[in-house]
Amino acid sequence: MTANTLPFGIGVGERRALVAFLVRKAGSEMLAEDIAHDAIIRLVEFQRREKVRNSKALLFKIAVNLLINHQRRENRTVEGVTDEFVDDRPTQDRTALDSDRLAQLQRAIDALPPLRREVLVRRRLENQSYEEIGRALNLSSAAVEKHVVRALASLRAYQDKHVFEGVSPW
Amino acid sequence: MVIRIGAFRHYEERIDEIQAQAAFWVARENSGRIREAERIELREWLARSPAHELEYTLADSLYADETLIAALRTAPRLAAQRRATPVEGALDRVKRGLAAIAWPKLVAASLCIALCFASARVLFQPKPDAPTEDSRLAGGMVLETRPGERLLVQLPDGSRVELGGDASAEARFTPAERHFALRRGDAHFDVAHDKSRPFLIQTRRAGVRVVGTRFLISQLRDDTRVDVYDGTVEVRPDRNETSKLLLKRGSRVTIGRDVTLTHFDASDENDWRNGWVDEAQISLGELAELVERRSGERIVVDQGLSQLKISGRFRINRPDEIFDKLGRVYGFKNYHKGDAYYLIKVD
Repeated sequence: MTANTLPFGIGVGERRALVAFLVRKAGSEMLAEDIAHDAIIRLVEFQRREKVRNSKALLFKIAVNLLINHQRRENRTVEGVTDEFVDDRPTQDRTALDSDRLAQLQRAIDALPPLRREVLVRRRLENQSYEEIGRALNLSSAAVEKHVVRALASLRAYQDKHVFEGVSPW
Repeated sequence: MVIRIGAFRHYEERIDEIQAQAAFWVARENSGRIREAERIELREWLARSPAHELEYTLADSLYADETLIAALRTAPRLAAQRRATPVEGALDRVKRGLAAIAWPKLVAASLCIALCFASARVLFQPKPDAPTEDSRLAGGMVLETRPGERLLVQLPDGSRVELGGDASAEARFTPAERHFALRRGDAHFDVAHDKSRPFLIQTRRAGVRVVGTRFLISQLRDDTRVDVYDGTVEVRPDRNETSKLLLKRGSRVTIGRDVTLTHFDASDENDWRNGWVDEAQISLGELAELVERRSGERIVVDQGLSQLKISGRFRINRPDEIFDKLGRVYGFKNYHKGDAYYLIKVD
């Protein structure tokens, strides 16, 4: 992909920074190049339909999404197909990535209001139904769902805010 | 050429809403209570914008993330009675000890939170696409395009406005009137009929009042032009002017220092959309501006050429084509260098 086919607001420098970021996260230069290429195409498509102020931040976000999806797919393939040969120990890169994300998510969870956090813990960690949570905390099922929605939205907003400021990359 | 549908505001300005909607759908899907009708609604919502799809995928990945579950294991808990799972027995005892110490602080915290929730509910309603277009328009909504873009906007009253490139406009609806200000660029209007609620358009040079009709307004360098495709349009050449013009299908009024009334061929309404302009007398400089707006290409006109008067029917979305053709007739040439087209005189 040459400079003049890059989307609006994205230059060769941004592309290079994206690839470097992805190499750090994915550990593979080839995968990083693939994902960067794909992300740029998606950004062009995105800008065709949405007005975007900060194309660079969006490009990184699209790339992160592609990387997560790639890794989720990989994990599924590993679990499903090659059961006998799987080395359970995570690779060094994955460990680094996960410890960063773990610390980030812990901070995001700490920042939630206590009731909202409690509902999320019961729902995701303890797998309780909305009715169970409602009974325990004296809330209606609808209110429980609203807490889950708000908790999830807050965590996503926290992630977005802290991805590109260098505080804690995904 | 870029056509964006319904892109009222920047993606960044809507991100909170989109994230709330995405979270709503992810929670709904994982509640095990999602209905078929909601699934259809979700699919439609996802198809409406790449931003919806992106935020949905990110929220979904986060919800399913093992790392999230790991992070929740160490989360502080509300000191309420709860059933512990056997795995957590050991951790739990530690935490209960901590909770006992932190008890008074937590009570204060959760009281305050309850208040926050009560007020937050009004501001933050995670519903899929809240039907608030009309109320949003009450505060005024700015519509803008960059050169080379087009924006098709469906207003809540059913009117459709299509903005050409490099245009700026604002819509503001009240219960009694529909206000629209076109500050820059061209806009094609298809106004929904509503006798009780006139559609009023303010431009630099004129005020336009309609009940329901189709017409095109172009802001030229010094003039405002109105082309009427259907129905009747009332034009007041100046804000303070009491005289008004009633225009029927096929009428064109150009308002500048003078007001000229002419006719144009209204049979092909797609003319403007396809980039055709019909000009009796336009300067090359002005024409270059129109091409710039429509194509998004930068055009630099030689000083001695910009006042050159040109007439005819042109297609302005392809700079190379139009300037090749005109250059042969009017004696100039064009070349493309860097990010611009240059028009220069041929001696």
